[in-house]
Amino acid sequence: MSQRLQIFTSHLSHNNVLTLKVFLGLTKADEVANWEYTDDPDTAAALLIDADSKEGNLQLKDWVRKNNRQVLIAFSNRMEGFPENVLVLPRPLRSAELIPVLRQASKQFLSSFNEKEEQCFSKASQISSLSNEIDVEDKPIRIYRVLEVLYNNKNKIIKVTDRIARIVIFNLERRRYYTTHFSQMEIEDLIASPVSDMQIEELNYEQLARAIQNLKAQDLDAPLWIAALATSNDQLFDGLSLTGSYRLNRWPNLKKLGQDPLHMKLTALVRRGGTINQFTDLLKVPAEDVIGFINACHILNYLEHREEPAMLKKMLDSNKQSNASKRSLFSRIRSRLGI
Amino acid sequence: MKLTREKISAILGFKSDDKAKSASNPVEVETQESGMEYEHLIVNYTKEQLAESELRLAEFMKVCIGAYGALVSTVDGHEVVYSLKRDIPPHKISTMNSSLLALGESIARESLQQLCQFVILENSDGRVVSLRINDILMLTCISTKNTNLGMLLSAGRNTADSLAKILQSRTL
Amino acid sequence: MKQIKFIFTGPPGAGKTTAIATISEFPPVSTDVFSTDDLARVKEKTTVAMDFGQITLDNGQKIGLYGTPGQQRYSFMWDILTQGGLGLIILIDNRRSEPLKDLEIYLDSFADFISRTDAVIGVTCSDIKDIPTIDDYQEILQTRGQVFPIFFIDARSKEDVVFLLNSLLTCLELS
Repeated sequence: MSQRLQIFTSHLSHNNVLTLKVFLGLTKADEVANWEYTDDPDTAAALLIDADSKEGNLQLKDWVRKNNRQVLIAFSNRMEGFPENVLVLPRPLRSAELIPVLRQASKQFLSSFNEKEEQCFSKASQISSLSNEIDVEDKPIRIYRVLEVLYNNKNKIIKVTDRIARIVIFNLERRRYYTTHFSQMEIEDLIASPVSDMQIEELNYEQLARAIQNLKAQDLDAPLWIAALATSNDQLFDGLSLTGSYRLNRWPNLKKLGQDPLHMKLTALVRRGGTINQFTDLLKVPAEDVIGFINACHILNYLEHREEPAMLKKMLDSNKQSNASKRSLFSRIRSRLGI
Repeated sequence: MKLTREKISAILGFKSDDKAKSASNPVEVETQESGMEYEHLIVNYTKEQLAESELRLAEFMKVCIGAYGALVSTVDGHEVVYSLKRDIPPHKISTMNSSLLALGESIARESLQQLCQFVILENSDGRVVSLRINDILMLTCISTKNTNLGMLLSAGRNTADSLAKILQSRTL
Repeated sequence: MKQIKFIFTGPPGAGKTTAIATISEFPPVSTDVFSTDDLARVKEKTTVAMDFGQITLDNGQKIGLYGTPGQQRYSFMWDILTQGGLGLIILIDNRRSEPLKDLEIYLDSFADFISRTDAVIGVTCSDIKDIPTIDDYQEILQTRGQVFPIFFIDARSKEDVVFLLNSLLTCLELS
């Protein structure tokens, strides 16, 4: 099946960009990759730079140094003098030369993507044995995130370094993190990011003590919660099932986890126990909202699996019979208190 | 060692037959705070003060024929000295009447009336009257209907006034 | 019309009177008297009967806010005050020597009322002493097999007290 890939250009003339866009249409029928133009280098699989301009040449060198996942293509009169992994597209821009270069770029990008996914899996295995067994061959490519690494390594100390050498240390036993490089929002993003972008290693307590001198411990619960909600994508995390029943073993500290009114209702409900369908039916909310909440509780170890059909039925029945005047009373109390 | 009030009484040799006991004396009572209980009184009465107080209570009981209990307690419910002719739990009475007196005083304020003089429990076969001695002490008088109310209130007030003079305390 | 009420309880000095005052539409009627025991070193006065505050709803219905005395010898008032109550707000003073034990005492003392209604827990004075942590309290609840809303709060903050009450209302609504 043909992959859809994007290409970004830097320092190309306006005419060359227009020409490129026309030529990219020729890849629609390609059996390996169908290329499109993009203005966003982060989403691009390949970066095409005019290496004959001074600025373009500097840009190319910078991208080579960063060693990102994108394939670099130098548009140049020179055929030599470029780093090994940089493809060369000779001037002038012709489709006969462009298409083979794009084909080579797509093969290079897709093979390096698969390699990195395998590296991530083996990296995580080095840290600890994973509780979830992911069969890479049978399942479609799944993005393995830092969040899952943290969850699967409870009670450990994990050091994460991102692409630009920023470091954060997670003390998962105490649910704290230490960093001088990241704001909380950036920590949330990092936790939600694929592990392929990160370097991950386990530390011992001595290493932790040395590393966190003069660093303030920060609470990890909120970033984990937010990252779990953000990465749910309507899917339960590994180990959870749609048909299973769930019960909270502790009340999430919603005061620091966002004070979402729906989460408060879900907390009260899940405290009693039930299935996702039951929670969805009772609250009349989309299933993805409930799934996100269940995932977030799971990540913070607030959840137990329960199988108590009688209790679930009782909960449903009592809620059906719940007094309308009681709800009305609570609604008036809330209104009076300004809630 | 935990010194309970009963042990202190035994050490000091108070008689048990008339059930007149003193719950506090210059010996410091060291107890550990258990749960919500603060037992170490910070007000200090001498043996002489307490003995004289007992005498005043005994006089009250003589004047009011139907009276069978008189307790001096702190406004926050700790018994100080008492004279009881029946088997009444002094600790409970002290605590509960402190609530009653405080409620009575609050109701008086809310009713735009001045100082609460007495809180009177009129029961089918007797009365319980509570009144303030001073800022931190109160007197509870328990009587059958053999003493009329007027006498009970009057004798109670006189006793409280006397006790106020006797029990001028030093705080530890 | 039967009176609706919420009960605030907790050890002396935890902030019950203060919490009621933040939301009551009039200054709470209090029954505070001078402390004559060790508590005086912590607090000059103590509640010996109850605190009483109130809020009035748009339809004229009154909601009573009752604070219990903190000391255990006034437990007879706890029984009286909880009669007909809608739910319990337990305030725990984190500065005390054994606040985790305090929590267990109140959960045990009000167990019957809680089983018929529900409870939320606010831990005060965490700005002065932040240990035990909320996780420590959660551990205690977990070993007891209980799940209640529990947060660090400032009893002087209306926002915090309202948040506690909202949590309680949500629990009662979905029970």
